Amino acid sequence: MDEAVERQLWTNRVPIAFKLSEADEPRHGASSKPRRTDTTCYMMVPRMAYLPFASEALASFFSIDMLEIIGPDGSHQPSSLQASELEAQVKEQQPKVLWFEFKGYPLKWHVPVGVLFDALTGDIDDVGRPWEITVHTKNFPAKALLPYSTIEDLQRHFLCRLKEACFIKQGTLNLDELGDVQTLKRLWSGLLYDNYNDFQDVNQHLMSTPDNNWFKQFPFCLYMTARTGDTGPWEITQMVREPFGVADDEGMPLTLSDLLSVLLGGGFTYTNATATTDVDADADDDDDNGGDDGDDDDDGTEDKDKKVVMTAGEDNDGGEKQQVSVIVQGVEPPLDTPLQWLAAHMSHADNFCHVIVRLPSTP
Amino acid sequence: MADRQTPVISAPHTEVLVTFTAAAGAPQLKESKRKIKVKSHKAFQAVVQHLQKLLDKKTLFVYINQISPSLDATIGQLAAFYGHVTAKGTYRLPLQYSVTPAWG
Repeated sequence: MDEAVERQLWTNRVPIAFKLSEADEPRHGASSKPRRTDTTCYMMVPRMAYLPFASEALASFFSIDMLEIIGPDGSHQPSSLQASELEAQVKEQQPKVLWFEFKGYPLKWHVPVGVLFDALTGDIDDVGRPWEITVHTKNFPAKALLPYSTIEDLQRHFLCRLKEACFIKQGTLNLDELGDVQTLKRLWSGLLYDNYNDFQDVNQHLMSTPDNNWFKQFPFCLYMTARTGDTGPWEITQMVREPFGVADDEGMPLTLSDLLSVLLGGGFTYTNATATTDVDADADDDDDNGGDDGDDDDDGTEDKDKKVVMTAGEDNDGGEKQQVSVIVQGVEPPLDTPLQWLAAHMSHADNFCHVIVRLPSTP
Repeated sequence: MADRQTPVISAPHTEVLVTFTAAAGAPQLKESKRKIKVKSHKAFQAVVQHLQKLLDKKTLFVYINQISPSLDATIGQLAAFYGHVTAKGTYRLPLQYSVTPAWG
């Protein structure tokens, strides 16, 4: 069954509608071609993938010349330069970088697509519609995003995160155990070219421990998301990472609920129903809907009573505690899910388990 | 482990003593520049930029324990994982830098 979960998570896709930014691609007087900003590129992007994976396809779809020479003032220079001149120019100019934006929020290129989707969408209006993302070709927001020039940056970043996750899981950084660089690159190319077998061969090895012991620690990234009012855009307000074991001092497994009570304190109740242990491949075959169900619960107050609500021992009906949703890989896992299981089976390709905590909206 | 997780996160304005060591033949820093106190909510990127200025290098590889941390991780998060607690109860985070990639 666990293998089925992993395969399912791998095949999960986010429907995305990419549109070219109008501000970046103004209509040229001389242009007789149809405006590129009028068209939309629809793609089913794997949840585990990263946005720059789509750059090449988008550049060809929108006929963006990735090595287009842009003058210092932003003007387009004639492309009738000799090949040698062109080459010299290209060397000086960085290759064009596509970056992505959703409702004014630059999307981090180093965060998996599924995580961004779960963290930033969630408005009830978005249900069943592709996620509309704006593609930019200019004015890379250096403050909001980490420096990026080519896919190599993403590969380096990804492999570093992978190593870090292995360090957290194993407690040591034994590079021999991790496998040589070629092995890790096989995992990377499995991710890049959507080849499950290549990915899984390596990943299985990374997820295993000597003697089938548990991991030393739970490798996680926790994103707090919140929005202003009931209609404002969701934003990631905080990213939390800290050492956290998968078992307590007596060897008892720690669960998602233990993690949340330490990190968030007891001031919250969770929409994740504890009575139903339905994290299996059959129940979440439509991953995106799983996430959207959470939004329904958030917005529909009449659903509140039906929920099995986690409280710190006391029965709480007064609504003093704020209700939050916890999302991993697009689903709301039961709070009694052991962290070891989450780490081994619900992690993203970088071997981190990305957990999203959707905080109640602030007025 | 349990005693390491709370102090850093719960006090975002505590300071972490970050130390720099040259690796793989990178130029040495002056003795006085090898240590810096950084507020734990600062991003790792800020420390890298500081180091880039000190060394006047555009390309710089900075490592902790042979790992190159994410630039958007905060110093506090990194100290919680990789730092040492000193006798005074403060955190110390040793970094290595090089001008060529030293570890994968």
